[in-house]
Amino acid sequence: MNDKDKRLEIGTEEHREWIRKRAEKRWKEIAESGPAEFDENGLISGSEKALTSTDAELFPDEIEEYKPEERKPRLIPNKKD
Amino acid sequence: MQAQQSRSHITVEDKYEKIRVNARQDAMSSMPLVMSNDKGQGINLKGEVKLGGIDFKAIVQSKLWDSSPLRRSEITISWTDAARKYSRTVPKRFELAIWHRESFLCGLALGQPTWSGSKLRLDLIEGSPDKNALSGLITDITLIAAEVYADSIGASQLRIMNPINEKVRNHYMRSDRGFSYDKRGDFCYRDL
Repeated sequence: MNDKDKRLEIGTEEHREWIRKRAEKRWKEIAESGPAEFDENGLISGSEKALTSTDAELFPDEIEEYKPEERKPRLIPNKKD
Repeated sequence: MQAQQSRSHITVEDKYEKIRVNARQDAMSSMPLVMSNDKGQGINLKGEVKLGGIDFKAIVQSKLWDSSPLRRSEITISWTDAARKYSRTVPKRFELAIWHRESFLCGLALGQPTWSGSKLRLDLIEGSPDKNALSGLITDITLIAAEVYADSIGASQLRIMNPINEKVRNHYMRSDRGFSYDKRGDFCYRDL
């Protein structure tokens, strides 16, 4: 979304019209190159892990995606020999 | 407290269900009139394709996938369980059922915005194990529907988690699709 588009309020008819125009443009780009050249009859993407993992688990480098409870520092007990 | 949380969940669920319905309508209305499937047959997208949620009808049809001898052996995921879990715990989820002529279920997808809300991750995309009129178009129909939903909720990046193989990755990374690949996290991503 560019600066001009950011001024559109989400959920307004104006915003939806912007989305539809953007999608039409995107369809044109994609339609020109034709259908997928791989077998789509089956799993295309994703996994059990993706379905069951938090953002923090999937994207550990992205602190902004951690839930508040995941941001708490972890206590590591002193190791005793 | 429990009741308040439930009411809050219902309120968010209702709000985002309207957004999902509108986004699917917008994705459908923006489709080109005709596109070729993997057999080179012209498909009247506007007349023959319907995008819906993962509702009872879609779940019933997906159960046929579970028992299909054509379903690849590496797939152990039950759409019934996945859709139920997301419906219960992810009110802002992306969900999509792709129908041909409102009778043949061609594809299903589930996703969710990240915690910050700035990204939409697609956690699962599967095409019907049976060849069908929309074979070759499922990935791109899902892609556009997800981009429209991401725009609708103000997310600025789309992530396709765990593309199944190199051919799928390369499809997203074609210049007209415009995705990059994060090897460490195993996802394709595109800034919107």
